[in-house]
Amino acid sequence: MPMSYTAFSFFIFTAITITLYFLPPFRRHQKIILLAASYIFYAYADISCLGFILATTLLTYLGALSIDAIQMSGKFRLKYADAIRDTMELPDAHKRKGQKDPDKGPASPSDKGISSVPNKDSLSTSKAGEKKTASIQDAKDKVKNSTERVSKAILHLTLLSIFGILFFVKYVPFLLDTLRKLIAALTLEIPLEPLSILLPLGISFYTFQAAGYLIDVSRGKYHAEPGFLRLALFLSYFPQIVQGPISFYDKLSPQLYETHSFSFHRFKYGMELILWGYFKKSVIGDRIASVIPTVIGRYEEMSGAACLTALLIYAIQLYADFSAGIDISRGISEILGIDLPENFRRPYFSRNISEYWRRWHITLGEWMKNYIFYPIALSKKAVALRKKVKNSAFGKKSFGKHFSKMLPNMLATLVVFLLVGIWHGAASRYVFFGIYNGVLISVSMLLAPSFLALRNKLHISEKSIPFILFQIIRTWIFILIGYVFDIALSVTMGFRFMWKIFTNFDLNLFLEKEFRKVFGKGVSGSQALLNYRILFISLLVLLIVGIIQEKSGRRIRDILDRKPFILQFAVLFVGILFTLIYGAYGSGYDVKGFVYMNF
Amino acid sequence: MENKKIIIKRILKILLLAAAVLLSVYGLQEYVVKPWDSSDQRITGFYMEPENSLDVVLMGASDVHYDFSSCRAYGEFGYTSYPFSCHQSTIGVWQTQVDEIMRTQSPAVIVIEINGALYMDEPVHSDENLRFFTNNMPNGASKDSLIEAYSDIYEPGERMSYYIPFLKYHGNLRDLGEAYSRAMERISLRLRGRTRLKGETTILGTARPGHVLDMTYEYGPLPLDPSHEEVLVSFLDHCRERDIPLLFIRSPHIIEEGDKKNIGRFHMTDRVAEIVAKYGYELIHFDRLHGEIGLDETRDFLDSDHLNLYGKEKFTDALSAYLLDRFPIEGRTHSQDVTAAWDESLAYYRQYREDMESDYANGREENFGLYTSESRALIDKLSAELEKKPAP
Repeated sequence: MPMSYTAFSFFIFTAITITLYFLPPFRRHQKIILLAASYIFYAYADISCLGFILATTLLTYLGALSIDAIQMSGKFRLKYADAIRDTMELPDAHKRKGQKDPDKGPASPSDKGISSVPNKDSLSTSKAGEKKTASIQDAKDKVKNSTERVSKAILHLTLLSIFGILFFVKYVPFLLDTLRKLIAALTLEIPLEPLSILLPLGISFYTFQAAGYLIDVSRGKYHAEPGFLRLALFLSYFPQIVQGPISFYDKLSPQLYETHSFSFHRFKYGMELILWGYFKKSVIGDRIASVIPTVIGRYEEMSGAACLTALLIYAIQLYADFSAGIDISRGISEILGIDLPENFRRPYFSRNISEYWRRWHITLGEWMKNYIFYPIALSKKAVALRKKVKNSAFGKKSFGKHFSKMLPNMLATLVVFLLVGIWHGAASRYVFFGIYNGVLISVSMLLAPSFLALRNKLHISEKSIPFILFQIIRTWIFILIGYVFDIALSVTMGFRFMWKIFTNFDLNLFLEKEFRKVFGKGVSGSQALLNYRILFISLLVLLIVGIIQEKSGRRIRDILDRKPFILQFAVLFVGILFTLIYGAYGSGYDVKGFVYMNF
Repeated sequence: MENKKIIIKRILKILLLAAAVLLSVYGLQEYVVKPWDSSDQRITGFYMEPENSLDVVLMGASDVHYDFSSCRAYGEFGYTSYPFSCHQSTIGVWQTQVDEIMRTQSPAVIVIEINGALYMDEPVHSDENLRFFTNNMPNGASKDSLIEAYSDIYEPGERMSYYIPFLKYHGNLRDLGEAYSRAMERISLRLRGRTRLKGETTILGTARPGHVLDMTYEYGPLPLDPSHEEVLVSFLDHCRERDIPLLFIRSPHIIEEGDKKNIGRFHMTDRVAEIVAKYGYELIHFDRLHGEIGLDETRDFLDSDHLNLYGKEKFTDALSAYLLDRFPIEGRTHSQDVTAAWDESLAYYRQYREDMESDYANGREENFGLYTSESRALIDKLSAELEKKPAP
């Protein structure tokens, strides 16, 4: 079991790590302390899974170094291609007077103070020069092509290997299980043993980080990391290994490798963020987590109102849980002097589904944009397809023009969300979830001009509060439909679940009989009542904080920091005590692991 | 210099916040969220008794505090005693209890009611049992060894909650009325510094037994649950090594036709007697002595496992006479403060007994076992709430 963020052992572990990290005798070795802490943290979860992260690290390390070496050698060969070429093929010409560096093109006659009027000699020299330039260019192309080919081959091989590990542990058991069911359905007698593999902690996160790093190295964005331990730290950094955020090498690694001094300001801010994370996780997320399985397990007997409530609760729980984990990770990092990227920006205030995906799991979106979306949307094939549609009869029409313009983006979006779906899990419902979002965003891209025209026709201001509320609620509905396939156990069940909401709402049944079943399962009446009250107060706090951040664009911590000490003290004191008293932790509570921990 | 001042200021701020939070959590833990039932009160009360002030300590399950009255024993026989017992006490906790008794007191004898050794198909360790003690005993080696001994019943991550009960009970702050009552009771007990009724629970009321069996015949011992017997033997080894004076008893029960539990336990008691005898200890089987004590199953029992006020007085008298006869209790003296406190308790007990009888005569079956007037107020409140509820 991974060291839970709510476990006492985690507090002790983190406190020891932070103390050692800043303690003067160890400060020079902060990288080593972080690496050791990260691997201890990882081994505590399951020592047998250490092999997976080590394998990914080693493959990434060797892959990136090889790519970098080949690219460096290619650059070297390109730079000196002319010299090499001259030496190998045109030794005389190379020595000839008046020749210029082939990289700079043919020598200009004026450079040498020679008359611009061509004579026989100069004509023959010019021809030889042109011939030589063409040959050098040819050689350079060859070098370039071969460098690209080899480095791409290594890149693909390494990516295949690291994603192969991910695929093996995450998807092979699912595929085998599907195959077994298929064999059973066809009444065939082919023995196929089920494969049970423990999913290594945070494998999707560190695999994606590794892949991003490899691609960036191959793109020449930065050089490969020569230190194996340094790369190992980048991939295993313990505050983010559980559930992200997915960091980019050029942003995170300099922070990991430099020495940090203790900063009271960062400590205070980090602790405040951690407190906020625990509040969301323990007081909200874990308090309501039991509602979802209660309804899902018996949704056929329950009213549509109960199903809708469970869906709303899931939306709250997922956000509270996931964003809390990120806040705790970012808070710890902030104390250590490391800034992890933001992963959530109040996603439920989004006014359309594209915006939602820009505010939800931001780092996954960034990763997808950099490494999937742009390579597809800007690929030669996508551009060619766009041109083809644009030049067709359909492309000449008004809608066709817009369609052809959007086509590469739509294709890329569909692929991105298909992958996002698969990333969420090895099940058809996740694939459906991905396709649903991809189609939704593609359709909204297509219809954007029509909506704009309609809004202009109706004279609706973009800034009008009712319109903003309409947009937010509309987005919520689309989000919730997507979540149905997240909580349902299959696509069919997802549709049935939705059907129940639309055809058998029965609010009376829910209020009179089911409400207690949903919110009070396994707890006494007074505990259930407490649950509603605490949930209501906590959601109100969450909403108010969200509105303040949304309106001011500032962090609550910055606002609080400017208030008098007594007010800061009161807010922190009440926040800590409230979380300690009303958090759903300790024995007697079903403390949940983080939802995204097993990704 | 300026920097130093800022650093000191910041450290002070952090310490102030930490102190405020820790004090609040401690206060909430000790007075508000921790459970406060009669077993908690009894165990807390035991640790409030002045050192070496008890002549006899009794331990075991609810049979002890329902069937024995320390105030009565003091009033009629002049010795001090305390029932260091809790509901459903299992044998697993005996060793710690004995060690704690010997650490804080020097009794002439420790009386052990053996109910905890007679459970069948039940674990030797129970979380409820463990928490009665860990929630109310001071930190120290005994607590550590008790928690360690029970490590088979909890996950490693839960261990801390036995030292910091707030981790388990923080959610108990759901009913402010209950929380207030708990706080008031704990505070008033702390302010008083001792329990007045010495941990006894007395309820007036009468069992209505069916066909009571004549258990005077000899049937032969029934075996104990092997895990319980193993713990019993280990416990006896522990006590003999330390030369601890023990007396084992089986308190009176109603054994009706068809009551397999009590019939079984009756005969298992004989097996316990065999085992303890090997270590030189004695067991008195009071279920064979109903006639000698003068117990009437139709008048002196609250239910099949517990005595009421009248049965308790008869049993206390019988046990006290035996204890005085067999153990060096007479002649032990106590300080004036201890004697004065016991005299006050006796007066309080007598007044309470009168009140209870009067209440009972007026149709109110009153719980007499709690310690404070706040408890009575709480019971009144709960009773009123129960009365309001429609019959199922």
